[in-house]
Amino acid sequence: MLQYIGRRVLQFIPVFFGVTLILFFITTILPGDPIKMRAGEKSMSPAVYQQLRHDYGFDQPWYKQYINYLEALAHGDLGTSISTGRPVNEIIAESYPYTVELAFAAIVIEIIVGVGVGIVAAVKRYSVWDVMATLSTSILVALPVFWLGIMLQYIFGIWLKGATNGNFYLPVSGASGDGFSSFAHLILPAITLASVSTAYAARIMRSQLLEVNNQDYIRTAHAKGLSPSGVLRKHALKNALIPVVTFIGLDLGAMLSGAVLTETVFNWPGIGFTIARAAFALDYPVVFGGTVIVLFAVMFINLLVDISYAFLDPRIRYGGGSAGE
Amino acid sequence: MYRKFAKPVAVVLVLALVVALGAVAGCKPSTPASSGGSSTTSASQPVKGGVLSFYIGEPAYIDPYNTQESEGTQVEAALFDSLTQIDSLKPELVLPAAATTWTVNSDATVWTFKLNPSDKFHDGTPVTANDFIYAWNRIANPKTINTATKKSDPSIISYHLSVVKGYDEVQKGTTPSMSGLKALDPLTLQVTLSQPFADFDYVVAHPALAPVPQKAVEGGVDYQGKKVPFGEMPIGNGPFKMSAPWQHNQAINVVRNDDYYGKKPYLDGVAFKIFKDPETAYTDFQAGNLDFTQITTGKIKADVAQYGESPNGYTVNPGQQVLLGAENSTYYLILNNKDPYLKNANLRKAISLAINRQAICDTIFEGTRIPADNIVPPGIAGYTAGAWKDAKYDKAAAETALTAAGYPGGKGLPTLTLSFNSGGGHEQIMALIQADLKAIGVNTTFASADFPTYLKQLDAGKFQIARLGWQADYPIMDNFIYPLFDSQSTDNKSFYVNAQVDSGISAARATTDRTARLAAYNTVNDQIQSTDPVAPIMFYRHHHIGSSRVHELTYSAQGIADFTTPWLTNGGATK
Repeated sequence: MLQYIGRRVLQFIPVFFGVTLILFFITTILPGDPIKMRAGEKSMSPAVYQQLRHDYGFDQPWYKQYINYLEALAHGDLGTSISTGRPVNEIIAESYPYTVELAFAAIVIEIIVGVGVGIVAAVKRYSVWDVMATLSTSILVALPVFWLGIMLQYIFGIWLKGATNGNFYLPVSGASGDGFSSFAHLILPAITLASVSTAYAARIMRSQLLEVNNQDYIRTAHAKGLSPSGVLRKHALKNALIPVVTFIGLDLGAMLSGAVLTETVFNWPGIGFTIARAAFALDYPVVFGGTVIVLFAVMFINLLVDISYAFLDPRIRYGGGSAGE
Repeated sequence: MYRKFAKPVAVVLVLALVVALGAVAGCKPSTPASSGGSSTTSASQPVKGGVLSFYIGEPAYIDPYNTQESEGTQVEAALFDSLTQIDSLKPELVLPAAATTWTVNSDATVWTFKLNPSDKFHDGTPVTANDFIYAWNRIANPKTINTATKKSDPSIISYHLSVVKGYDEVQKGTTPSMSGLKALDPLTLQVTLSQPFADFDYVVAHPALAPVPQKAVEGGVDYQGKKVPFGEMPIGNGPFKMSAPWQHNQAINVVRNDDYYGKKPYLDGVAFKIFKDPETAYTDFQAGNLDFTQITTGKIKADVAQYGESPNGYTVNPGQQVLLGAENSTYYLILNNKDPYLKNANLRKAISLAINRQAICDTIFEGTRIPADNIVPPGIAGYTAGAWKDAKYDKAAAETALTAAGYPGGKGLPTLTLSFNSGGGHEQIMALIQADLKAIGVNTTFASADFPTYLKQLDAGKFQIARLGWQADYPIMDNFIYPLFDSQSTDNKSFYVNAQVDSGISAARATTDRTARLAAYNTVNDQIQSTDPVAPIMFYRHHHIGSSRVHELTYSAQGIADFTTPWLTNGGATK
């Protein structure tokens, strides 16, 4: 197992080089001058323009720029933002914790509600609960996430406030305070971000569990006298969970790359909007820095998901051993 | 037994949920609880206290040396006082600020400012002439370093100082300080210009030209035992000071400076709430959490009906909360004066007369734009209505001009190109313009490119008809006339060259008498418009709203709010 983990970590390196090299190359063929973008429609003094071009290395060929970038990265320096002159490290350090917080809150909802609803729907197949679960998940999947966010804002932030005369309501935007925010601000954005994924997770859980329940070994377990909840806990769940874990893991990876729509609607100071705005402004250092961080986060999560398979399915063993990969 | 009802019951329950959601979505959100009925009037007395929350987008910089967009300038205007200030409602009035009096010599090349001895920075140190010299050199010098990162970070707004003697040498790198700046004594600043510029008192009113304390800029600011970079928590000399460092993407909180030398604010503080999106800010306003923001698209008429419109268009008071005053920005079509077809003045005249500006403002912009009848907007000192005689809709006159150009009914004229930058929302405007031009027989085709490429095309002259917007830095006619029409200006994108206009501008700049100067600029303006080098289309307007507890908040045509005059109902104490 340790060998497997070691090998996977080493794989990070070629992936990292590949992604950053491609990104760098793309920015050289993209039209547009990042320095001129700063001035907008007003012209910039030629002396300042030349100085800025030199500062950001635009007067050098692109492969030299890439090498300089890697050199700086080896020292932990992600560069300087073209739009604001601030170190990219700072920009990411102040926004990424918020993205992580929102992502984990959403994943917790997704796991508890999604898996829970999926189990209930499968166990009580064709009952009221099952039908409600299926219908509501279908609707959630169809709803645009930003519309849902805006609706929640109106219902819980504005209407509820008016209906209870200003006594009970949820905050509509922002994260409030330094570092990690107060719980109340997290509720609506987390529910919004989790909504579609929860619906998917519930449906996958349900269909997987139904499929597993048809297996012979489940029938055998029942026949041996194990209680229904015991069958569920000891046999069915573990086997049904693998695709669900895959889905949730991939989803967490996606959320850790920044939920731009949710962040915009709720004004959540995460990294998604930061990278998106930097991309529009041609602020490449921020785009690269954000991408590198997200790259590591996603690869790490994927590794965790793969390792979890070994615990869920004894047939899967990594590195050595007779079962092979 | 109940199982056969399970499915229909479940369907009904879920559909009920959907209908409920839809019903809530459809019904109007109730007005925020704190707005308790229409208040009697603002004849009441100002009450001290409270924190006003104000919407801004995330600024690029709030350090004066590099404030680029309106958000940064707004925050910075609360923290800093420049030498002079311009009256929020009357742009012809230049008032004292950090300077109590100033004099100018007869040919408008030497300005002498006497500083207010009570003016202090927020850390208690007095403001001296050298603080201005240090600040301005920092802006003009392309070798300026960001003292926090120790990396080069020159100011991209150095053009404010381009008229100061020594600016060119500093830009070339021969010296770090402008020779035209002298401190005659700690409280007297003498500025020598490289050319006459009688409106220089307007230029120095710009928030970017504020003084900065050198020690804090280079050594950082103390905050809770740590040193914070100056750019994160600037120390100014204005009516408000930072209470904590800039919380990026969240808020900038400032509190009243009780040692302020001027008129002390009633507000305890201002919370600049940073939003990524004006729509979200508007939702927060409806939830009662924001005191001033932009009105979201489609809601202007409804808001005017619900909250009342401000009579002067710029000042918020309870019951008069929607602001629709004209802003100091013009949207205009650039016509390539070097193009073989468009160099024909009658063709340009025809194009300008053919466009139905009112229709554009009404249909696309819901009234948040005003048809332009001049290149300078109404908020500029010296504006006269209808100064650009062809900036109006007159189809018959357009057809006559087209015939005079040699293309009767458009015959003989090839298809012209309408260029614009994609993603800026200009497609709809261009569609209406295209239809207007077709109606007189001029056929056009679109050419769009992303913004950086588009700017490149303009500079290279690869366009026939294109569009730009111009936002004034100071509310003076020179700030439109010179950049857009002088042959030496790099912002003159229409390749318009007229030596008479050039010398007219220089002469106007040297005219120290204000009335005579305005008349001189208007004469130049008249000369320019006679050949229609560009076609002004529309002026921008405010589309902002204040909450019902705000009194006397004026948001000027320049887009700067003055926070020394407003006060909140009951000093902000409602709950």
